[in-house]
Amino acid sequence: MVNKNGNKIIKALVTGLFILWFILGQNIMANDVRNEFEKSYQLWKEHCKKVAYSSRLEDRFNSPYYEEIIKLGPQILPYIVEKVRSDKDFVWIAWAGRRVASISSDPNVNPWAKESMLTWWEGGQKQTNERFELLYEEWKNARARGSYNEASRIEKKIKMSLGIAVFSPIMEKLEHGDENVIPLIQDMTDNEVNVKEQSVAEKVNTYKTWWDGNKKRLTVPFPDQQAIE
Amino acid sequence: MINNTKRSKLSNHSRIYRIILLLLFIIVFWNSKVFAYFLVDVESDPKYIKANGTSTSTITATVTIGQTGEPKAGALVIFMVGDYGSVDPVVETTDEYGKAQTTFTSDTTPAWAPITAQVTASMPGWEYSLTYIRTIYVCMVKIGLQVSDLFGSVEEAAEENPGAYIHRNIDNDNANTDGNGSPINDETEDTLSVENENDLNSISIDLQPADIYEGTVKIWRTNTKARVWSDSGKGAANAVVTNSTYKMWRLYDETERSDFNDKKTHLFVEGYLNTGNTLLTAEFRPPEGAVLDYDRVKCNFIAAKCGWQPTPQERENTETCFPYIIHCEWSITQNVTPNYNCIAWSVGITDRWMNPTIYDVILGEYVEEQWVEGVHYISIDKRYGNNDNAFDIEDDMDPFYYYTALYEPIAVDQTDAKAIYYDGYHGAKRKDGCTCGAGKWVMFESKCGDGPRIEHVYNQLDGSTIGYGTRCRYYK
Repeated sequence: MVNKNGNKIIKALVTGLFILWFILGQNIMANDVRNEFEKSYQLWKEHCKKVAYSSRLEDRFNSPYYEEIIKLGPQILPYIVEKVRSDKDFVWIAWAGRRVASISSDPNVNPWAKESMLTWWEGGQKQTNERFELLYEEWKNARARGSYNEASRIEKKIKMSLGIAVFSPIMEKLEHGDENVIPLIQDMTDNEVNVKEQSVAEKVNTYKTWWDGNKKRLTVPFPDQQAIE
Repeated sequence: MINNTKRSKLSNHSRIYRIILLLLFIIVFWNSKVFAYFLVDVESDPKYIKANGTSTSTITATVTIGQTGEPKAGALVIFMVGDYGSVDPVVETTDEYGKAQTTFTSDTTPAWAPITAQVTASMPGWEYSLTYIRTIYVCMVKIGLQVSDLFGSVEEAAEENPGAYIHRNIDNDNANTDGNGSPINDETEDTLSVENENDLNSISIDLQPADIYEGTVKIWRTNTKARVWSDSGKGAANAVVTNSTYKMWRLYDETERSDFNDKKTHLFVEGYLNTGNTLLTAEFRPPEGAVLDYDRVKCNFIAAKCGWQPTPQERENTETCFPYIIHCEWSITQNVTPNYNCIAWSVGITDRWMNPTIYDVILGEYVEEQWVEGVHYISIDKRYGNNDNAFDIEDDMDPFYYYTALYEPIAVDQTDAKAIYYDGYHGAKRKDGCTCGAGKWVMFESKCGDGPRIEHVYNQLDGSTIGYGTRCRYYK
């Protein structure tokens, strides 16, 4: 009895310690990312101040600190959004946001190019999903009509206007057995995943496996993302 | 002993004799009337004349008979001058009042001019003649007000028209700010010296000849746009003409004369609160009356005033990029905005950023336009040029100016250009209707990247450290 209870206590302690370690670890990692972002942000901002009088747009982005921010990936999007809100004089940070989210600013491929980052962010994954649904319907119809050029144009629009946030609804469709999305995934992944000569079923499995391994780096941590999951 | 006594007596007689002779000699020379046959007196009217080569003074020699004091008519008086000026006539005969007059005409060299009247008289029964000479001095005065301006020293002929061009002291050399961080214009600071002040121009009063111990010297202004200091850094202790309309030094007062001599070549003029002009006058007034000579300088006060003066930080940012930009000669005409850049502004566009080309990293292609956070970015190459994904002046810039403003690169230079293009990718727009500089500056306006828009003298963005390059094309 005593031994059994002792074991239970030890197990509970170990589990508790593990959970604590996990939570603390996550926080430490998150803090590290934030610190790294802050550091690069300040240095990039400094760079942009130095080139503020330049008439060439690209001089703002010719900076290793800008590249460092981009490398941090979608996890820093909340911090970027925070800066868009609080540091209104530094408009260039929105460019980093678009780049991290892989969204083009060209209105010819992104019908929502004119919207502000805050609108995009506050619309959340839900808004992206709705936009995807609209475009996806158009795309499917075009393909059904045999208008492959039109479909290709819409495909580009999906990729360029919704960015990485579109993986979530696409993969959800795949999970639910909609195999029509396979060409979209192929395009979205830039053929990063080799599914040549695979059957449709095999492709589905391959992409599911691939998604499991890449979900984190291809998910935008929208404010509503938790609720959707 | 006896010899010594005799010698002593003789010696005493001799001394007495000598003393009597000496007394007689002194009496004769002291009371010249006894000995002199004529007396000659010379006067000038006026004593002070302008050293301009034309002003005159009447010299009157009065000859009287020594013993009686009666006027001597018919005596020949010879008037002579030294190195300066001339007299006419040189020889004149005294009239019934014993007076002979001549006219002294001044030289252009300021100096004390000696004028000598010489009368020769033969005494009745004497085989000798006596010559009487009297000398007086006429002062040929010249006062000058010399000024240097933003373009060097001002020639005498140009002093009143067009005059000197001096900064209105609107800048902020000592980087002082008020409670809101706004710059405090130097012109409003005068209690303490202004550190690094460099907008006052030197002015000096040149009164010649230097050894005048009579009369007064005054410097005065026609309005309050000019202030005069005895130090280029200002400061209350150095105020000369600041609150009053003039400063006068009485040369007969040793203290004031000394003050004048200390300050006359260390004066500085400041443009105060307004552009426009002020006449500054330095004048000399002799003891006997009206102003004899003066010199006047028109001071035109100029400053870039279409906008407002930068904060110390804005100034530092701008000066870092443009080493040749000069305080007071530029101002901010619009606060920082990322909505448009210089090329856009060079044709008056304020809602688009005109870039040479735009590469969309996400799309992996050169694109015609982008929108980020409400800012519209346009590729000149794609929208106006030859769409070859590369930027050059002839194929992209020229069409841009033509399609957006109908400008062609046919202006001769900045004087007739509506827009100037710099080969490192910068455009400046003529500041239409701008009177800053009163015609001495050709003013343009540049939007500096995502920074402020500034008005500036056309060539003061040359040599930029931000890659604007060289002015290479003038459009109109």
